[in-house]
Amino acid sequence: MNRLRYIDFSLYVPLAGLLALLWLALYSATQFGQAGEAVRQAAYILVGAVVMFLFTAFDYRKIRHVAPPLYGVTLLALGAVMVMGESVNGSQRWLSLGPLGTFQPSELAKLTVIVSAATILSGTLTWKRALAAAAALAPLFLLILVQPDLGTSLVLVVVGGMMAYVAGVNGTFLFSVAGLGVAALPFVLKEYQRDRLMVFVNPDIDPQGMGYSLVQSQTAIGSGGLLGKGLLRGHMTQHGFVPENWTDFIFTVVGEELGLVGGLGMLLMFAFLFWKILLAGYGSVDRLGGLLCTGVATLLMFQVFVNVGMTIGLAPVVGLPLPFGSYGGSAIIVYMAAIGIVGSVRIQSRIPEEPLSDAAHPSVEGVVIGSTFRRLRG
Amino acid sequence: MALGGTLLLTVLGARLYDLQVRRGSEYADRAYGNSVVVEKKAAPRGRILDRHGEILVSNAPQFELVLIPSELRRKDVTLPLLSKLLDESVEDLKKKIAKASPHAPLVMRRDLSLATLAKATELAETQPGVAVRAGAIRRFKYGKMGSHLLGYVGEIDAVELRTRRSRGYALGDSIGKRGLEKQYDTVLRGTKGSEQVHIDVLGRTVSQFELRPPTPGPDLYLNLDAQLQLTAEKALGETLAELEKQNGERSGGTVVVMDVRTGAVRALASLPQYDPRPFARGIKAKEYRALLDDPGFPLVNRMIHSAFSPGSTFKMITASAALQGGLCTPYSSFFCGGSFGPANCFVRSGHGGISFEDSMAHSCDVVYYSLGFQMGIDHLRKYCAHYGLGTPTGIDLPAETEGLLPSPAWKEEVWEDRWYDGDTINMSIGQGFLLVSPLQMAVVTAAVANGGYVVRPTLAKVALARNGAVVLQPAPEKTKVPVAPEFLASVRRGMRGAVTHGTSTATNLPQVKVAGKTGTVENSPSIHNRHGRNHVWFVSFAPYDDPRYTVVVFLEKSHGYGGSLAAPIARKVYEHLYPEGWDTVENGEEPKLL
Repeated sequence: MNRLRYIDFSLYVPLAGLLALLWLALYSATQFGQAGEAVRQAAYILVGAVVMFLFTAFDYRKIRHVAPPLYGVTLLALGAVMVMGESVNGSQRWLSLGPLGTFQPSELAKLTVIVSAATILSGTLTWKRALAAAAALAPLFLLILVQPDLGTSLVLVVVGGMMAYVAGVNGTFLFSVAGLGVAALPFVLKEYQRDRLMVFVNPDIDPQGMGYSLVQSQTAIGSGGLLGKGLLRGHMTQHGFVPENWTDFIFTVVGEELGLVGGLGMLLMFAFLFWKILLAGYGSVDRLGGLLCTGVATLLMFQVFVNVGMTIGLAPVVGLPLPFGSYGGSAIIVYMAAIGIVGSVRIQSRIPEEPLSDAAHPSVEGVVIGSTFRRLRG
Repeated sequence: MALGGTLLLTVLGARLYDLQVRRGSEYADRAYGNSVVVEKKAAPRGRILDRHGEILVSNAPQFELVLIPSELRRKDVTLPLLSKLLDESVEDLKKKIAKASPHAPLVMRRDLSLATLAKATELAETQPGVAVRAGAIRRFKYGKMGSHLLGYVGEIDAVELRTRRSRGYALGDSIGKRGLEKQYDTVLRGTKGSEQVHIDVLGRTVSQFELRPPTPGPDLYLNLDAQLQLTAEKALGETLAELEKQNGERSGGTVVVMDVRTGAVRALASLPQYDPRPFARGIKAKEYRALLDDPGFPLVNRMIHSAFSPGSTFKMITASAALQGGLCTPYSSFFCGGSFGPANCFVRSGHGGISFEDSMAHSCDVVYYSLGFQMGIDHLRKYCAHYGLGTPTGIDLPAETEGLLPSPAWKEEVWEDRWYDGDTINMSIGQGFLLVSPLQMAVVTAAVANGGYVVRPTLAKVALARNGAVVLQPAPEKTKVPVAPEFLASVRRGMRGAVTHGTSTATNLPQVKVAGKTGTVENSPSIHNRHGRNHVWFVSFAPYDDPRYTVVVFLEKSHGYGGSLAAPIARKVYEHLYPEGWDTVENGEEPKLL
C-alpha cells in the first residue's frame, strides 16, 4: 500500500485524544451498575480502528463502486428494523445480530447518505443530479423518522442539505425547503417528541419528569466547576442522577468530573478534528473528496452541537449520540469509517505529481472544484 | 463552514463557562444539597461488666424505622402509609417532622417487631425518605437487677442537648439518662465517626464513604459482684415482700456492700427497682406514668437519693466524738436509769450499770444522751463532718443527696427557733433533724472499721478501650478522721459485742466474725408514712479482726427493729461473702479481674 506513506497523522491526533477522553468518561459512568460497557466500547474502538485503517488505505475515488451496495444494505437493514427490530424506549432502532450483539442501521445510514450524496453530486451540478440525491436520501430519512428517531433523520437532512449547498445548490432554495419541513413537524411528531420540545423550551414545567434529564444534566455539568470533581468522583454521574449518562448524556460525565477545562478541552479537540477535515476538503484533488469531507464535517459538528447543546440546555433532547463518546458499536465504527474516508482524501492530496486518475473528466473537475472551494470557505 | 463550526463551538464553550464558572457554585450546591449527606456515625456503646468480667449490659441489634424529612418527595402518599403502620395520625407525624432537622434521620419507631419490620421494609423500598436502619439497643443480662445503679440510655432531649452540643452530641443521639449510663456517658459512648453518604435518585443509599471510623466506647468494669448483688436483692426482696403482706403497705429498702479499705462497691441494691428495658426501647407515656404513680417509688434509689434519720447507728459517731473529746474512756462505766431528763432510753426499765462498750452493744440511749449533752452540738457536728455527713459521699452515680447536717444557724433560719439542748440530745442517738443517706452510713461504718479513713464509694473499677488501653481508673480516695485508733478499736469492740451478746445476734456467724450496730428510727405519721412506722437500720463490717467489708441494710417504714429485720438480710450477704469453709479455700484473696 504505497499511498499509506502519505498518511497525515495530524488528523488522527485529535481523534485519539477524543477517543481516550470519552472512553474514560464512559468507564467512569459505567463502573458501577452497568455490565462491561467500557470493555465492549474498547473492543468497538479497536474494530473501528481497523475499519478506519481500511477506509484510509482505500482510494476514495473508487467509492462510487461501493455506494450502490452500501445503499442497498442500509435500505434493507432499515426495512428489517421496521419488521423485526428491537424496541427500546418506545422506538425500534436495533437489529439483533445474535451473539455479536445489536446493530443500529440508522447509524450506518449516516455514512450511506454521505457516500451516496457525494457520489451523485460529484458530477456537474444539474437539477437532475440534485433531485436524484434528494430521492436517494428520502427513503432513508422516512424509514428512520418512523422508527421513530427524529434526531437521526434530522442529521440526514442537515448533512444532505449542507452537501447540496457546497455542491452549489441555491442556498435560499435549501432554506425554503428546510422551513417547510419545520412547519410540517408538529404533524409528524409523536407525543413524546413534542413533549421533549416543550420541555426544551421550559425545563421547569416538570422537573421530575420530562425536564428531569435536562435539569439533572445541567446540574451535574454546572457542579463540575472549573476543574471538575476528578475522574470517577462525580457523585451525580456515579449514582445515577443523570439518566443515560453512558449514551446520549456522556458529556455530563466530562462536565462534572473534568470541569470547564475538560469540557473546553474536548470541544477544542473536536474543533481541531473539524479543522483537519475541512483542510482535507479544501485540499482535495477533486470535487468528490470535497463533498465527502463536507458530509463528514457536517455530521460531526451537527451531532457535537446538538448532543452537547442538549446536555447544557441549548438544544432539545433528541437522542443523538456524541461522536466517539456515546456507548454503541454501530456509531463508533461508522464515525471512525468516516474519518477513514477523510484520511483517504487527505492522502490523495498529499501524493505529489500523481497523474489524475479521473482523467476522464478533466474539464468538469476544474470548474466544480472551484465552486466547492468557494462554498467551503464561506 | 469553518466559520459556522467555529461559531457553534464558541456558543457551546460560552454556555459551558456560564454553567460551570459563573454559576458553578450554585449548581454545586444543588448537586450536593440533595444527594450527599455527611452523617455522624454513632460508636457502639461500651458494655458494662462486673468485676469478674460478667457482662451486665451489652448491645443487641434492633431495627428502627427512620424518616429523612428532606427526602420525602411524596408526602401526600408517604405520610398516610406511615400513619397506618405506626398507628399515629398524619397530623402528629407532620408535627414531629416539622420539629426535626431536615437532613438528620428521625427515628419514628425503635425495636421493630418482625411483622412491623416487614411492612416497614416494604415502605422503605417504595417511599423515598423512609428507611429502615439497623441500630443497637441495650440488653440487660439480669433484667431488672441493679437497674438503679446501671441506669439506662434514651434519646437526648432539648435540655440535655443545649449544654452538650459543643461536645459533639447531636439530635437523635442516645445518652445515659440514669445511673452509671449517665455518670459515665462520655466514656461509654465512644467517639463518633463520620461518613459521607451518597444517595441515588430514589433516596437509597448508594455508597458510604467513611471519613473517620467511630471509636467504640470502652467497656466499663465495675467493682460490683453480680452474684452478690443478686443475693442482696433476693434477701432484701423477700423481706420487703413479707413486710408488704404484714403492713399492707409497700415500702422500700436498700443494701450496700463495700470494701472498707478502698470504697469499692460490691453490691448496691435498692428495692423496688424499675425495669430498664422499656426505657431502652423508648418508654410509652402510660408506662412512665405508672412508674411515677407506684407507691413504692421504684424510680428512687434509696441508697443515695433519700436521707433518713440514722437512729442508733449514729452512736458510732457520738462515741467517737466523746472518746476523742475526752468525755469518757473505753473503760468508763455509766448508769442507765431508763431516762435522761425528759428523754427515755428505748429500754424503759433502764440498763442499770453499763460499760462504755456495752452501751454500744445494747444500744443504751441514756449513755449517749448524757455524752451528747456534755459535748454540745458544735463538737458533735464537727465529728459528723469529719465522717462525711452533710456532704455527698462522691459515689460515681448522679443525683446523690448530701443529707442534712443541722446546725443552730440552720435551725434559726429554717425553723425560726433557737437550738435547744434537747435537739443535741436527740441528735446524739440519731433522731431529730439529722438526715443521712444509707450510703453515708456505710462510709461512716467503713471509717470505723478501717481505722479512721473516710473512703469514696466507687462503682467503676476500670474502663478498658477495645485495644486494652485504660481509659479510666478511679483511684481510691480517703481522708483521715481525727479519732485515735484505740478509740475506734473501742467502738469496734462495742459493735462486736452487739453481735455476740447485744442487739444484733442474728449476724453472729460461726465462719466469720461480724461486728454491727442496729438502728430503729421512730417516725411520726406523715403523708408518706401514714402509720408512722419505724425505719430500721443495720450497719456492720467483717471480719472483725481484719475488716474487709461493710454491709449496711436499711428498711423504710418497716415497723419492727433493726436487729430482727435488717440484720438477717446482712447475715445472708455475709453468708454469700463467707461461705462455710471460705478461709481454707480462698484464703481471703481478692478475686482477679477477668
